[in-house]
Amino acid sequence: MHTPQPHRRYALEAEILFRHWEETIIFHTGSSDTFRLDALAAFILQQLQAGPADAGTLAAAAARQYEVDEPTQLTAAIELKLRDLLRMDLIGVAAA
Amino acid sequence: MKLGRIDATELAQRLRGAGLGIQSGPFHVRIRSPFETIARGLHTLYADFETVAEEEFFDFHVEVKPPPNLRRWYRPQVIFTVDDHRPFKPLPAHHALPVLEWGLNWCIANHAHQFLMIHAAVVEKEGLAAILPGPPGSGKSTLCTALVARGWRLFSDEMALIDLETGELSANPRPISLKNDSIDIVRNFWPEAVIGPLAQGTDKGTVAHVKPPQASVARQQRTCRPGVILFPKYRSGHSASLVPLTRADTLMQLITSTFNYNGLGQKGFLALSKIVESSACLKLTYSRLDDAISIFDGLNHR
Repeated sequence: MHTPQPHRRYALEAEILFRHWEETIIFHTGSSDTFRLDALAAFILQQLQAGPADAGTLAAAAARQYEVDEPTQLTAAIELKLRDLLRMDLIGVAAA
Repeated sequence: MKLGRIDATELAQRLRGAGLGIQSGPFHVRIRSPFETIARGLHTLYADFETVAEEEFFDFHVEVKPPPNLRRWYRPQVIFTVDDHRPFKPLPAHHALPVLEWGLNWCIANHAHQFLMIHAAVVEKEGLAAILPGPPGSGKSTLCTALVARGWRLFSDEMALIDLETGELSANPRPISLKNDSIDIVRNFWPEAVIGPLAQGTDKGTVAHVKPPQASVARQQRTCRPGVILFPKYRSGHSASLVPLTRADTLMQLITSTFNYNGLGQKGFLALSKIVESSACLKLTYSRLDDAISIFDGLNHR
């Protein structure tokens, strides 16, 4: 199983369709699976739509989004969520 | 020509011979059967359906007939075939009419992939179409029958057919299938209802079918846009309550009730999310049919 690492970059493995309702629903066009996601997981996937990113970059973006002064406070949560998304095959490790 | 205008003897002969074509919602179905119960059942329950000429294209060629073995005579059985394929094991011959209905449902659920197909009843009034998804035991068919008895148009008792391109619901107002206690509940609630013969001892218990109203059959070619998705739940002694559901909950629940969601891939997601976005999403718990109907009648004024 992949474990998030500080400088490893992550990428979407297929296009994802989003429905932002009270919660976010996504449809993974690669597997044709549908998921209900929490806000942080949905945020990460949306960030990765723009291109591959590492946990630090994602934490910085999340800090801006959620108005957290210190991005490192979010790093652990981001890494945990990345692990979930890897396990769900929604993301993969980007080629170096 | 409407099926009910065919003489009963001639109808039985046609069913034994080349078969009888009927227009059932968006489908042309050709039925053949030597069983008298099928002839009588069609004559009663499908009286208002238009027949289709033999030379027309048929979506399904179905037969309900005895098996080609001793079970034709000894403890007689019935088999259902569609285009010579036999999807079910043989069942007792006195279940012939339910077998035809289950077989037609199977044909649609396995072949009509131009539609997103949700296991649900659908009714419509004044342009408001309500989709009622529900697993067995939710009271879906009983409630559907009661609504139809009080003037709602029957779209379908069994499945919502949603056009993938337009998002419109197609009607297929075939007879409503009732089981066990719901048969007497409907008899008491709607004494004028025409109910077909009881088939006892099926896998689902005792089954009977309610003839769809003539007005619903006459309008079966008219589509409608869904406006309400309502999950009904019968609960004895419970006062009626209507609560909103989130769209996320609604979509995830609908996925489990949709026959061909996985097979349709992205098209299925787009169609299902579109109807969830454009519909009121609700859960109704009830014990008295009149209370439930009052709530439904109020939906048009929400």
